[in-house]
Amino acid sequence: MSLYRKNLYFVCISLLLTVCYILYGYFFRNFITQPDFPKEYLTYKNLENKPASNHFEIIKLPDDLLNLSNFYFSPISETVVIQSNKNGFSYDHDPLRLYYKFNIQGKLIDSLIVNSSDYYKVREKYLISEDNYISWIIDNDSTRHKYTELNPKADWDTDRTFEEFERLSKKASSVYYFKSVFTKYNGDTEAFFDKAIFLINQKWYALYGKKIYVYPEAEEQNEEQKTILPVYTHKLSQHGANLLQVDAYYNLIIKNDTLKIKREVWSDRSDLVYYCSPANPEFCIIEGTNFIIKPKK
Amino acid sequence: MKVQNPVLKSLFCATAATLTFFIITSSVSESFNQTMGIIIGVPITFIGTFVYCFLLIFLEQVKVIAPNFVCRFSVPFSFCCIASVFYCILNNIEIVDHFQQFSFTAYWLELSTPFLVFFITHITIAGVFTVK
Repeated sequence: MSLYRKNLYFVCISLLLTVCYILYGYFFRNFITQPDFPKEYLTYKNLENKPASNHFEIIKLPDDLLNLSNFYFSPISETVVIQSNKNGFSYDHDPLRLYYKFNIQGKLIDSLIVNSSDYYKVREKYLISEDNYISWIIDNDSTRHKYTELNPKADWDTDRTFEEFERLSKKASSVYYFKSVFTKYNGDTEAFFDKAIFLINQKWYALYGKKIYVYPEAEEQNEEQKTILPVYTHKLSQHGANLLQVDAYYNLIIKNDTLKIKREVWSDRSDLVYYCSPANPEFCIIEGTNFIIKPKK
Repeated sequence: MKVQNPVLKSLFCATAATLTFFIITSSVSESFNQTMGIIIGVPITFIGTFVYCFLLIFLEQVKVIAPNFVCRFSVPFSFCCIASVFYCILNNIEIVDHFQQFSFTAYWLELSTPFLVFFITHITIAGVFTVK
């Protein structure tokens, strides 16, 4: 047998096996039994394809590098603040933290940079750190306000501190604690003081005291959370034994309009969650995405 | 029909493959992992292609592959196809994870990338080796 003929046999056999394998994959695994796709859901659009109703539309914020785990609506203006992941290779080792502010049209209107080492937290829409607080999310004012300190030298006795602590806790709409932030040297010994801050009438007050630290509660979520269930799901493909990829169809009702949305999800029971601005309930953001719902111009 | 200038041609193929790899991977995304992938992948592609070219020449010398353009292309190509099929079967990899309800076009799209890569590399190398 000549070399050419051997080569030819080899090529024919291996290509035939490959083609058989592919055809087997197509013809013997490529079925899910389910009813035909109803035509009424053909008009539903993916978020990327800009679903719109008579008065509302969904658009994308002009940034793909946002930290979508949390966002902060201003209670007085139609804006939303989202942290950006833009600086540096790794978000964790970034010395700066960048916040972006978007308006109702999805336009970037302002930004704020803070040091990561200050560990700013968000409480009642205020950015708070050990030393100062910023009300930028609410009123676009980026000055670092000092806390009004009630006992700046931490010289009150335990009873007085405790009394004041109780009184302020009742009055305050939000309380946060910092552990051992104030150190007092007395000869060779040193005493550590915790700091509690209280939000009363849009001003933060600080109180130093021994052992007043309480582990702070997790950051509050946005208040106006809304959840909708899919009206219909259509199976697309099966991955493994019981993981199904499905198209889920949602009717998002806002005022008197219905936005028809389609999404590819991994379960029949995937909810669509969105949050609306307290300043304007027609301005919403869809959870986990950078898509916003807004009135048409 | 022996391969002329085997070292030069192998170097040419290796450079071409490395350049293609670099252009494709660096145009996809700019993340840090991607950069590391390119840094590691460039020498691997270069050496891999170079060694592969010499393997082809060696197989021609020991009379496994016929010295002809069609054979130079089709034998390694079909070998790669069947080898990847066996690799998937033995390691229990589903080439496409139970893709169901897909049209044949969609199914083919899932499979076509490795086939096209095999096809283009082998036809290029065979062509370069056959050119005088």
